[in-house]
Amino acid sequence: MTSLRAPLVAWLLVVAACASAPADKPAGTARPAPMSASGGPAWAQTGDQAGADGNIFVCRGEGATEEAALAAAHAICNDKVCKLCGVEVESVVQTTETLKGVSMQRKVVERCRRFRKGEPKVRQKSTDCGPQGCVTWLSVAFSKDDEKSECSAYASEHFADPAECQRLIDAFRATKERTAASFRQRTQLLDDAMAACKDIDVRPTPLVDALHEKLYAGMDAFEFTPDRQQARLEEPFFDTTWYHSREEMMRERRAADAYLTTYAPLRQQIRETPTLVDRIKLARDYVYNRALVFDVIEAAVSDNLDSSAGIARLLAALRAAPPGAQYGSLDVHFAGLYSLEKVRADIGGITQFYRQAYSPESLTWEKGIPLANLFAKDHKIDEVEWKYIFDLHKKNHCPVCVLELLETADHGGAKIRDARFFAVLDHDLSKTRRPEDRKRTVAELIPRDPQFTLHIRTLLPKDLQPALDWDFFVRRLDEAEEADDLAMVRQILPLLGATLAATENAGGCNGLADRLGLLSKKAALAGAAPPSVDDQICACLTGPMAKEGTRNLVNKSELYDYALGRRLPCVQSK
Amino acid sequence: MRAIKIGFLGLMLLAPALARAADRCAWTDPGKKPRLFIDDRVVVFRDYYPPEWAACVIGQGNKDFEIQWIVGADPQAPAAETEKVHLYGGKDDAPRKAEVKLFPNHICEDEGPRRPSGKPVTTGMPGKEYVAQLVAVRVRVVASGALAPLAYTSPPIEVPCRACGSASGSLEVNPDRNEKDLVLEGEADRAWFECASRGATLALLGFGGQSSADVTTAIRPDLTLGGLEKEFSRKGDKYVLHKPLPLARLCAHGAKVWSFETWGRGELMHLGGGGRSIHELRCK
Repeated sequence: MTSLRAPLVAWLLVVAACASAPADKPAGTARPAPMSASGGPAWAQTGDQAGADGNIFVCRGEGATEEAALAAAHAICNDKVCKLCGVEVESVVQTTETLKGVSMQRKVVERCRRFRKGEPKVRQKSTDCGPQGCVTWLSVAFSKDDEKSECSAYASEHFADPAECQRLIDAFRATKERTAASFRQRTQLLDDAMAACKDIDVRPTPLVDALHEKLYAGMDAFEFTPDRQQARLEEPFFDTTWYHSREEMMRERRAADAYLTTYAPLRQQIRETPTLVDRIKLARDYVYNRALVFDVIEAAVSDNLDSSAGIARLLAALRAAPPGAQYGSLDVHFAGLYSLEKVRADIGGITQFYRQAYSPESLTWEKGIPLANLFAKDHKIDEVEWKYIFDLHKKNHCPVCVLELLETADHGGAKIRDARFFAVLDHDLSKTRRPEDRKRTVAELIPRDPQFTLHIRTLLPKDLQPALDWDFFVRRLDEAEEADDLAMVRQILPLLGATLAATENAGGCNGLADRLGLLSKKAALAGAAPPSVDDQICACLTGPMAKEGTRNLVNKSELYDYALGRRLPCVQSK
Repeated sequence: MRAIKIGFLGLMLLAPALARAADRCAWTDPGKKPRLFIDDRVVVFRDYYPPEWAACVIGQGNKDFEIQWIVGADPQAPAAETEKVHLYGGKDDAPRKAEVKLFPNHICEDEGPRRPSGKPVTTGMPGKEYVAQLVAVRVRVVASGALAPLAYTSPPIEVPCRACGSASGSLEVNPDRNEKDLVLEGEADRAWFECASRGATLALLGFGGQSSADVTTAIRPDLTLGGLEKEFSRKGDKYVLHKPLPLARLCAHGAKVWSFETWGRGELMHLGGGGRSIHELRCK
């Protein structure tokens, strides 16, 4: 069927409980025959027949090709056999949207054929193809002996070892804890179950339904299910709840919950999988994956992480776990990175693993920042580390990533650090045009290292030096003060004072008294002397402010007070 | 008897479990020390604790701790103010910060046991200086049991409280009665003057020029009369100053217009009001 846009296919499952006699009109195609409505060859006119020796089914199938039409006819005949045996079968109505409207075609689901043990005994076959497609007529014999052997087999709930199958799935359901070891135990149980349940199918018998439910219950037992999420959301906290929203709760959930949150697509995939063994396999692959994931989590939080054995354990877990996001949860390789920040043991093997396992271009800032942190952890940045993070930045803009490395003083030489700073700066500036964007680019790349800032400021092109202005250093000062990092405050104060050296216009002079006030206040908080800006005070009073009334303009009046208080030459008696 | 035995056995079994639970609330150095400081006359106290430890003690029912403000010289004095501070747990490495503030009205009361009584000092920015008495403020973190690692008493910090109240009086240059000379006249409330003059200096700055613009924009005085703080004399419940500014002396500068302002260290200079007065002279 041709359509000019992607077909929208909706599958509607219609479970038809068919226990009808073979003489009943079998399910066939609902669409008119594409070729002719002649009713097929003469032998087909007699239709289905039941006799003492058994049944003869006549089946008509349509398809775009000869093979497709034959397959459709076989499916119809299988359906009739299944009905004869009293097996529930499913038929499907497929709707396909086209430019001409919506067409519907009923198909017998292939599931019935899986029940068939023997090959169909074809008595007669006729296929006719034309411009509209092909139509096949089949006459299939199903003897009483066939009926006896096959129908009894369909009705049986016997499979390889039903009791063992049930026991293993029960044991899976009853497995406790959310540890790597428990997930390995679950994996083993499901491996064994796959062997014990290998001949079972998904006919909706009570036992199979029960096993299916137990499989789900076994997953519910360790997962952070929608029900548990709702309960967490409703957990009381005084007269309200802990969380304001589901998003907040999900955002703040712990690692175990995050990596065991029910993944609806997997549940759906299991539901849509035709055999129980394949369903078990899906669940088995899932718990095996979680075992590897929890190996990483447990290694990352273990008490002995900060030791060569602890790091080796983590590295082995990282290597074993498949990279990337699985089952709806984030890549576990990046879940425990922050736990390494305080580790004193050598983590060279781990940083090397990341560089080998992930190309820098494949990472975005969320993963790049913690990795850059790790690279900088030994307070040295080598060429390999720098290139990796810079490549990441070039592909997926991450100024914080390169900044993490630039914050580190030891790049193997002052000039190397300078060169790396300017390499990033040149790269980022090549993408900006507007002067304010260029200044912002500079400001965001300057490390929180006052000495380096002071040094690099002089190397910046003239047009970019104003980027490190009063506001830039005030932000740095406020951050340091808020963090109670008084040593940093003391280092930044002279840099802040130095920005006032450029105060030579009326606008700058008007704000100078306020800035002196802020400098004095911050200096007092840090127990430091405020930087001297005496020259700027006099330059303003004798320059841009000279014609203003000394006690009329508040800005000049306050500046004049500073000058008098400091006995500056520009306010001394003549 | 049997019930008692079972109950005792239950307690015996429970005790190690409780001990283990308490052990799990391991205090780790948050990496930052408590800090007490003054920001715009507001006393601020910041304290840090590890979030994992907090999550653990919260789990044991310890959701908050108490901070007491001790105002005055006696470190054993009862708390002037108390505040409950909530703990916030978490898994992140950065220490949690608790911050509380004590505002000047809780420290610098005019009356009562917290009335400032320390040694007077001069403080404030140039031109805005004032006499203050320093009041000692301490902070005490009251925490026991599982919260014991938070217990702390700070060294005192000295908060400046205004000692003299608002300036009461005036100091200005006026024409003298002879309508030729100028005179500097001052009058101040006795109590305020005696308070404000502690450590104060007072000077009259004169600016001479040929026009009003000259003398209002000038920043280098042509005349400085210092030591005025010593020239006030007591008259009843006032302190007064009467200091002639002879025309001849002013005219000697060759200026036709003069402006005057007061300046000095400490609080006494506020008597001048902060502006400049302008006077045209009739020099011969």
